[in-house]
Amino acid sequence: MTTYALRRLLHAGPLLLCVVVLNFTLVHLAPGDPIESLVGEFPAPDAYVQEMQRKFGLDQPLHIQLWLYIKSVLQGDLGFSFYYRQPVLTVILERVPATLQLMVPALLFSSLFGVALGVLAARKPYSAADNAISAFAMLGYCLPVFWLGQMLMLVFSIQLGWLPSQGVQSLGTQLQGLAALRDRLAHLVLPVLALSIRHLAINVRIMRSSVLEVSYEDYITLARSKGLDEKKVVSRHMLPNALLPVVTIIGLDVGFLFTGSVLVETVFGWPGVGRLMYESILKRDYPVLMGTFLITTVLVVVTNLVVDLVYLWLDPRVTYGRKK
Amino acid sequence: MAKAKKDNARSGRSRRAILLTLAVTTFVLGERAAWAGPIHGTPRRGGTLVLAITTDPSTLNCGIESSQIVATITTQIYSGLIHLDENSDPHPELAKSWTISPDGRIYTFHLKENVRWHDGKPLTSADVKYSFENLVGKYNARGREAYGNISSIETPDKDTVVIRLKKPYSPFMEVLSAHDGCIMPKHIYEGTDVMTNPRNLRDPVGTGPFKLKEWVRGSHITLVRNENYHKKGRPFLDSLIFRIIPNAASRAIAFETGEVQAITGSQSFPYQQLDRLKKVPNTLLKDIGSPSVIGLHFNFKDNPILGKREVRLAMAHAIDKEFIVQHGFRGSGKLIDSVIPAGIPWAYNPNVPKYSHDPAKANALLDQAGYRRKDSGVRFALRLSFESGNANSERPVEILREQLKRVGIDIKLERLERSVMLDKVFRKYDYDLWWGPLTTRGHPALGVARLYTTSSITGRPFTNFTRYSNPKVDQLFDLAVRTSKKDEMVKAYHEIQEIIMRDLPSVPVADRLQPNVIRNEFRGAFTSTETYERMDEIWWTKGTPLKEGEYDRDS
Repeated sequence: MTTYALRRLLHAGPLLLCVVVLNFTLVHLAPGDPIESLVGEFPAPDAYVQEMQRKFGLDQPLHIQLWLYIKSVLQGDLGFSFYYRQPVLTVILERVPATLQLMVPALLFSSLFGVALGVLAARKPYSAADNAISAFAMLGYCLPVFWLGQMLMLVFSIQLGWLPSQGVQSLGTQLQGLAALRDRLAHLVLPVLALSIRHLAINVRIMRSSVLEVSYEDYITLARSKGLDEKKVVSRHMLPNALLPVVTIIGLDVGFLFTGSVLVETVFGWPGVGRLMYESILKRDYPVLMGTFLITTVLVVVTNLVVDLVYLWLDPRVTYGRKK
Repeated sequence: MAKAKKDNARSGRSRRAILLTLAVTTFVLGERAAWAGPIHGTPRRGGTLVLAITTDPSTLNCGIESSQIVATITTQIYSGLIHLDENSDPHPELAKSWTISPDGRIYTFHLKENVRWHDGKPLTSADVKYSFENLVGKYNARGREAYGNISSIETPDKDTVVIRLKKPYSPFMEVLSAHDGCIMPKHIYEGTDVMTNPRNLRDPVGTGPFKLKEWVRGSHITLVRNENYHKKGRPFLDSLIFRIIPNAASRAIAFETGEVQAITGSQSFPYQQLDRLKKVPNTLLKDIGSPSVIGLHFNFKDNPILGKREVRLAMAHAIDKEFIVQHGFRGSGKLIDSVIPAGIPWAYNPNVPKYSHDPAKANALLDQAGYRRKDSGVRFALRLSFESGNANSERPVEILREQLKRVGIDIKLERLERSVMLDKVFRKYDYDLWWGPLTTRGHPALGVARLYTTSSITGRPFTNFTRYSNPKVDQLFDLAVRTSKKDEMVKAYHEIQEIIMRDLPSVPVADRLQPNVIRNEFRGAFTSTETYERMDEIWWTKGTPLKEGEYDRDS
C-alpha cells in the first residue's frame, strides 16, 4: 500500500505541472487588466501603471512570465499578489482557517446525516419515511445555494432574530471564553447549513440507491438465511459495501467544499478561500487565482489518493496496479 | 391640457418623485433639527460604529492609490490639507488657512502648529512637499491633471507650504482633501520603496482621527481613537469597524439585523435594496455624495448608423427619462438634460437643447435618416453594453431596450463583467451603445472634461470613449480650467453644454443621488461630499456627554 501511495504521488508531479501551465494560460487569456482593476473609476497614471507592471513582471512577454512562474512554483513560491501586495501563499493561508471552519462541519454534517438518512430511506423503500427523505433530498439538490442562503438569513436572522447573518464573529463586542465560543458557533450555523444541504442531498440519494442495490445481493440473503441479527446484517454486510460509492462522492466533496463554497462565502461574508478566488477573478489578481487553483488541485489529488486507500481498506477485493 | 401636464411633469420631477423627495427631505430635516449647530448637538464620547464595505482595500497608503475602498479606510487614518463639506467647499484640516494669488497660480498654506503623527513626531511642511512630489503627485489617478500642473513646492518654514502651478487650475482646492491629497509621513517613507513599504499594510502612521488596530483580511478592519488627534476631544467614537460584506443583499440584511450600523459610499451602498432599507426603523437615509451622470453613450465613429446625427437625435426622443428614473432607479435620481449634472449647480446649464420623449418624432427622424421599418417592424439592430451586476444599469437597460424597440430599434443587451467592459468598451471601442454611471465630482474639470475633450481620447478606462472631438469645446474646457474669474468659467461651461447637447455624443438621463444610511443612535454622519470622510464628527447617543470646551467644535 505504501509503494502504491508513493507511486501515485510521483505520478502527480507531471499532472501538477500541466495544471500550472493550463491555469496560467487560461487566466492570462481572460480580458482585463489587473492594474486598472486596482485604481477605480479614473484612469491609472502612467507612472503608476509602469511601476506596477515592472514590479509584477507584467512588462515581460507572456512566455517569459510563464517560465518565471513555473520556476518560482518549483521553488515553492506561488508569486506575489497584485491586489493584496503580499506573497500569494500568505494571502491564501490567511483564508484557510476560515475555510476549514466551514468545510469540516459541512463535510461531517452532510456525510453523517447523508449516510444515515440514505440508510433509513432504503430500509423500507417507498414507505412514508422514504418518500419524505427522498423528497427532501430532491429539493435540497435543486435549491440554488445563493437563494437558500438568503432565505435562511431572512428567516433566522431577520424574522426570528436567532442567528447572526454575517462573518465569523460579532464585531464591536468584547466576548471572552464560552461566550466567544458560543458566538462563533452561532455564526457557523447558517453558512454550514447552506453549504451542506446540497451535498447532504447527494449523499442521501447515492446511499439509498447503494443500500437498495446491495440488499438484493446473494451474500445479504445468505446472511439473513443464516439467521443473523438484522442489525448485524446491516452493519457488517450491507454498510461496508454500500458505502463505497459514497466514499468516492465524499472525496469529491472535499475539493468542492474547499473552493466551491464561493457562493456561500459571498452571501455570508465568510472570509474563506472560495471568496478569495471569486474576488481575485474580479480583480484580475492572476497570481492569487493561479495559487488557489494549484492548491485546490493538490488537495483533490491527495484526497483521491486517500479515497483510493480507504477503498482498499473497505474492500479487500480491490487491487491497484498489481496483476491478480 | 394633457400635453401641458405631461410637459410640466417632464420638465421637473413627477409628483411621485417630488413626494418621495419631500418625504426623504423631511426625514433628513427632522434629524437636522435635532443636530442644530456645527457639530450637530452636544456630542458624547464612546461607542463603536460598524460600517459595511465590499472588499479589503489593496493598501493603506492613500498616497499611491485613490480608489474609493482605499479612501474609505485611509481618510480615517490620514488627513488632507483641507476637507470638503457637502457642497464641496473647502474648510481647514491640516492647513489652518491659505491664500491664493490673484492670477490663481500660487497657493500658500499655513499648517496648524499642534499636529503630530501617530508615532509622536510633529507634522511639518516637508511632509506636505514630500507627499505631493513623491506620492500623490506621482500616483494619484483622480488628481493626476491637478498634480501634474504643479511647477514647484516651497517650504519657507516648517509651517508654510507654497505651491506654484504651471497654469491657473480652477479645481485645485478640490483635490487637496484626504481622498485625493492625503499627507503622508516623510520620516516613514523617505528612502524606501513606497510601493512595497510594509507600512502600506500594517502599522500605518497618519495624522488622522483613528489608528489601525486590526485588519483581518476578508473579515474586518478595526480602527481605534487617536488620543493625540489635533482636534481636541475628537474623535468622539472609541472605534470604527469596517465589516467586509461582498454581497449587496447581505449588506442590507446586516444593516437590518443591526450587525452593521451604517453603509456609505457609492460602491458599498446596495442600491437594489433601497426600498427595503427605507423601511428599517430608526434610520437616517441621506442622499449626498459625488455627483454623477448616468446616460446613454454612442460609438458614432465606428457605427455608420450612429454616425448620423438624426439617428442619435431620434434615440434621444425615444427615451422616456422620467420612466427610467421612476422605475429603473425607484425615484432616486434627478432628471437632467446636460452632461454636467445638476449636482454642480453653478455649472449646470438647464437651457441646453432638450429632447422631450416623443416616439412619433423619433420614428419620423429615423424614416428621414433612411432607416425604414422592415416587415418585422425592426429598422436596425444595435448592441447595448453595460456593466453586469451594477444596480445603476441592470433595470434601466431593460427599460431602455423596450423604449427603443417601440421605435423599431432592436437592442441586444451585452452584459459585461467590469474588467471585460473596461477592455472592450473603453480600450477597444468595441461597442455600439454604452449605458452607465460616470462620476463627475464637484467640478466639471475633474470628471466631465475627461469624457469630451480631444486630448482625452486615450483608449484608457473612463476617458473620452465616444471619441467626441470639437475644437471649440476643447478651447472652452481649457479656458474654464485656466481662468480665475468665476463668471468666465460658468459662461464657458454653459456654452460647452449647449454645444455637446447639440452634437449629441451622449444622452444624459439622470443625476444619480447617492443614498447613505446610518442608525439614528449615531449622529453627525455624511457631512462631506465624500461621505466616508469626516468620521471624527460622528457621535453615539448612548456615550458619555461632553461639556463645552472639552472638544474642538469647529467644522
